[in-house]
Amino acid sequence: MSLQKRITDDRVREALRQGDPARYDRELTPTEREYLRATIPSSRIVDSIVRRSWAWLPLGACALVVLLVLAATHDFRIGDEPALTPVVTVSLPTALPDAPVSRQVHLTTKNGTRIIWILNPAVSF
Amino acid sequence: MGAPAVIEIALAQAWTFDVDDRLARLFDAHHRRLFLLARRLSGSHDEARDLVQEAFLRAARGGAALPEDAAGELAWLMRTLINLCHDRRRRESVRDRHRTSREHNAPADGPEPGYVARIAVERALSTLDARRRAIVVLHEIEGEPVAWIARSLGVTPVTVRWHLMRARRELARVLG
Repeated sequence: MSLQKRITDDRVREALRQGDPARYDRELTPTEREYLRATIPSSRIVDSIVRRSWAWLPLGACALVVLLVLAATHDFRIGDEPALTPVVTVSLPTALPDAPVSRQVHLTTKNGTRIIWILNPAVSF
Repeated sequence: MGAPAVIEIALAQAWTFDVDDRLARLFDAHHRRLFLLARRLSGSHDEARDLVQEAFLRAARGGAALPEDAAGELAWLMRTLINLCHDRRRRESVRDRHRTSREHNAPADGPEPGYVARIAVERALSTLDARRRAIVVLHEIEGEPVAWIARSLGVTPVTVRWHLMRARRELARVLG
């Protein structure tokens, strides 16, 4: 190592020691020390509780999915669905004598859905 | 509650007390040394305290990773502290640039020589990467030998010497 470099290194070391950031701030205050000493073990307990609660998360998620699937597939209506009670109406022949007679079958459910079958008069069985 | 359950709880409690006791002993043994390092790596007392706290919290959470012997414990804590400092610097680099310009204003009654020297050193050290800064602090200010630093930080002595050489060059330029 050259003399010049050694002098430079010594000067840097000297400057660092003179301006040591911890020169007047060498330790934690007693309050800080007590607080940290008390906090550290309790944080471990809190952490373990949090970790344990996270362990239940996948199980909870699975249970939720199962419930959703059950809710989607199960029919929660109470009692039996009333059977479709068709109201059959047969239309009267039209007034025109030459016109082909078209017949209609009207089905109406209890909820109001109407199904109208128009029978083609040209078709014969 | 059956007898095995009682024994299990008693063992868990004993383990808890044992771990708590170890954490307390760990804190008592190393907090001074760790705070000094943190204070030299950070810009303020509060930041140093936060770093120390975070390092011990990591130790509390990762108890299994903590070595059993005192030297290993200290090395583990130091490495954790340096990594925390490194992460913090990287995260807050933009904010720090603005904060430095505010915090480093001289006192109203005129700067004292000690204050000027401290600010100059803090500024110079802040130009270094956290790991290099730690090596410089440990060797040049705390006087630790290269071999000890290498062992503690888990690097080779050649790496430590290389960091020291580069750091001295940069510090000589900044400090004038």
